[in-house]
Amino acid sequence: MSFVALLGWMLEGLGVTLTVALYSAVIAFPFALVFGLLEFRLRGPARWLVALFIDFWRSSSVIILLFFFFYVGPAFEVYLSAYTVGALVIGCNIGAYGSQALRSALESVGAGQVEAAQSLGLSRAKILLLVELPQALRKVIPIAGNEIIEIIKTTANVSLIGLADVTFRAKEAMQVAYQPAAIYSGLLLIYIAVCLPLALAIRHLSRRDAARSR
Amino acid sequence: MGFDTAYFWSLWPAILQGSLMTLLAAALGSVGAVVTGLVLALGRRSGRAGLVVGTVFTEAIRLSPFLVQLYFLYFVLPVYGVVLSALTVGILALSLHFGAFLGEVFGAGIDAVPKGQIEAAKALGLSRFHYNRLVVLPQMLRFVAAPTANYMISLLKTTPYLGVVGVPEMLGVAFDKASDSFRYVEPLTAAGILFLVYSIAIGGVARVVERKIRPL
Repeated sequence: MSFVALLGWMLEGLGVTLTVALYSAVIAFPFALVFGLLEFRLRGPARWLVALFIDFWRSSSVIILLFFFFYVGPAFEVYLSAYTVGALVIGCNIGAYGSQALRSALESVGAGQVEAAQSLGLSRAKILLLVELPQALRKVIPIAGNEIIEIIKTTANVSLIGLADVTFRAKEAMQVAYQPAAIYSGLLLIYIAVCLPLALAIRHLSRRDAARSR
Repeated sequence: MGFDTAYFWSLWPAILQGSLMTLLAAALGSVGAVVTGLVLALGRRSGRAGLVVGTVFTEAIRLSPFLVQLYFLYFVLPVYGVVLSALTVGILALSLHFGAFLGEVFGAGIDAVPKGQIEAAKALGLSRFHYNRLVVLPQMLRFVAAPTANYMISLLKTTPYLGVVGVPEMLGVAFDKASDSFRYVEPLTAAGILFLVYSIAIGGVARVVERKIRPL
């Protein structure tokens, strides 16, 4: 097969890659928002439990969790599709990283901001919603962009649990036509082509932000 | 199906054996990554050619999945006559992948060393090699200790991928056992638990390192 034909073959898996990435993002961002806020606001044992939950998702390996939920679930009558397992594991893993970014952004909002809001008579909930959160969210925009790239890269793992994404299609191509150099260079190029525009956009955004806040 | 406790305990010797391979790969991969990172960081600061090559390499690594890079090395190197064992390919992949990330960290650390220090070293007549080794690197180490430790944890968490190309590390062993017995629950649970223990242990070590080595 020619290089172009190989690329075409592999690109047929792009839909699956992007679908898994989308599902994962739908889980990751709410996860990051909710657990970032909870760890920021809660105190005492509740906070400890939230931190433990976040650390579980952060400190285990995506590939092990994928296999674990995919193979262990059915033994306990929990039947999840490969899409669900993929999105769940990738979403929670990246979301856990994101929650830490959001928490540290929230913690870095100046104490003066909160004091000023209090002296204006805002309730604690309103301070969080109207003063702290907007500032923190602005800070985590570039990080959120990086998380999207991270999600797209991590979706390559779902090829191991049988979803026909681009990586899976590359392995198929290896069986049809044994041209490792062409196939795997093409595969690398596909991922770089998908992620590079995102990376450039993030760089542009954070440069603009740095220039504005100077 | 459920959970067979006796089978679960019988797996531990093999899984622990496999975990030694995991630790070996992670240790050698870490050394390789630090070396790669240093070469990249210094190379990107030593002229235009180094900058271009270093940047292209770093971005290519950062924008593609580790799994794909591993496949690439595993299948493409033999085409050009470089036949390496699966373990060597795995360690090479870990070194290059994390080397690219560490290169960024080390670069930032080098840039954080005050310019006057280098100027003073040059004024004393130190050669490039000597002022890098005696002035820049020791100071940089203090800046980069914490982020480097974090990347080492990531590296440990990435070693199970080597099982995919047939390295008998923890996950690889777990899968061997699973395909012997057709029971996935117990081997994967054992591998998962041991992994979590290692990650937490390394996280603890990293925290100690962070506390001991601080920027001046």
